[in-house]
Amino acid sequence: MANAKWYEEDGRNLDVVLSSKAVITRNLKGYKFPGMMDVNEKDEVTGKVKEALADMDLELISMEGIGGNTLDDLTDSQIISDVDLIEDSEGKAVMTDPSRDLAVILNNNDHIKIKAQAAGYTNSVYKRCENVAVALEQKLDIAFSNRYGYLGSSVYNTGLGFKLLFTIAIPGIARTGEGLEVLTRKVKAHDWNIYPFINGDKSIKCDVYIISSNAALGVDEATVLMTGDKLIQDIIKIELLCRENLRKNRTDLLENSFYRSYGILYYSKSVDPVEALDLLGWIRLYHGYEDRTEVDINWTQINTVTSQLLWQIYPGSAGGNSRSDVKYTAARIAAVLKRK
Amino acid sequence: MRCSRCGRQIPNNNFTRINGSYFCNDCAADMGFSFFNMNFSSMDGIKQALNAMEELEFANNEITCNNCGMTLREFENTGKLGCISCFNAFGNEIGKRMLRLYGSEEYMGRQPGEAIEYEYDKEDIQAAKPKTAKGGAASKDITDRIAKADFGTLSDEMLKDALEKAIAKEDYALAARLRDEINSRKGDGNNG
Repeated sequence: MANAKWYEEDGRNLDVVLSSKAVITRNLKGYKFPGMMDVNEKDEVTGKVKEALADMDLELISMEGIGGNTLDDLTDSQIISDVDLIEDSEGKAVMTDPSRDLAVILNNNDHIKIKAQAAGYTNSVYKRCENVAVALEQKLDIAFSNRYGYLGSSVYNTGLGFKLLFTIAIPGIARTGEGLEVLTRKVKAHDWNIYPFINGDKSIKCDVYIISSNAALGVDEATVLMTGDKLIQDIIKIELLCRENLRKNRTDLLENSFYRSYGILYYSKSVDPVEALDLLGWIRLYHGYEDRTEVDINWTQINTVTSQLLWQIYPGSAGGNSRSDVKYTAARIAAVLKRK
Repeated sequence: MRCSRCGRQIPNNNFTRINGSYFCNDCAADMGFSFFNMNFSSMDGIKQALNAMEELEFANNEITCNNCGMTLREFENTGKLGCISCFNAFGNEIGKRMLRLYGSEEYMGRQPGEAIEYEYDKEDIQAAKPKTAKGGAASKDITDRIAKADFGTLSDEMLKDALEKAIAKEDYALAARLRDEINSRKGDGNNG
């Protein structure tokens, strides 16, 4: 696909895992943290990072006055996930590649936040992040202490300065009694976190969750990757078992809901994004069992639509609620579902 | 709750509170604060010492980072640091917070400029194939996959369903494991 963004690419276990992300945070010695810096100091940091990454072919985009298509593009690509980045934008910038799967965010809470992301389940996002981090560490004077590790603007960003996150769609677990409670216990037992993608707004029925690593001291990066592997593998197995169980016991409901949902998403001229997210849950539960001569849809399309909707209505999203128009939403969904 | 000294989880009520922090009984004993080892004639002295420590800690809220001007009170209120010198100025409070958050104060990650060795995307997770999908391949029986799953992640309903299927298949080894898991949950609601 020409000009495809990372979330439209193929990936592993797309039936459960929407995306895998790694984030590494670093700061430079000799500068206060961004909250205490003036714009000249921020520009100096940007200049140093740009020079250090000159051979990586990343486009530098200033956050000052950003809007229109560029803002929508960076929001849909899940690079801008924090309204602070555009609301108090002086001296802040993003360096990113054309497919938007790699980004270096400058002068937000910390000097440098490296983010690598990919569709489906992969832990190689850490490697992509680490490549950038190592290049910076070799060329710049990075804030590091043997006691605390990498020093950040809060204790949450100090230590490994690394987080691994998986966005998972789990309608099978969420709609099976006690499923979420059991999963939450399991995730927390491994010192990871689990939380709904849309947090705080209970009116939104959404089966998409994020699991993220928590530990920053007392473990190394490989242990975090290994724990993530184990957790995500278990979650995928259990989610697929739950879906199969639901299909066996509620075949008529799931079959009918699938075709109704697909029809609404495919043909509607206006649809509310929150309703569309719920319909996608039914699509996930029955996809693979439908008559392929009637419905031609794949996991990449389902996940692309899900990602677009989530980042349209996500409360912390920069483009945010201004893009929740029902006609706009229906047109975007149809454009993805009608792709061959 | 975790011990502020060793970071281990503290079982219910087995803690000693010292100057607002919680310690497991082992650490409290190491620090000379166990009531079992205490000479009760020294209680007044200890009480005075604790009061003095509380006053000292309160006074410490005015500690200021010489480099950026941030105070300990500001750090406590916002959780944000102003610069890397704050790690020296507020080292005591930062250490306590990190111990509470991570159960450890020891950095074990990679050194700057060095990459880790890891075998990425080693295992491929097999998705369940639709059993009766039109044009699809037949899938394995559900009990085959349940046998390989972590029981702790299955709901009670799923376990009972799996138990019935395992008995029907005369897979008595799996049935026994499932029955044990179901019985253990009856005895302990937190098991899982």
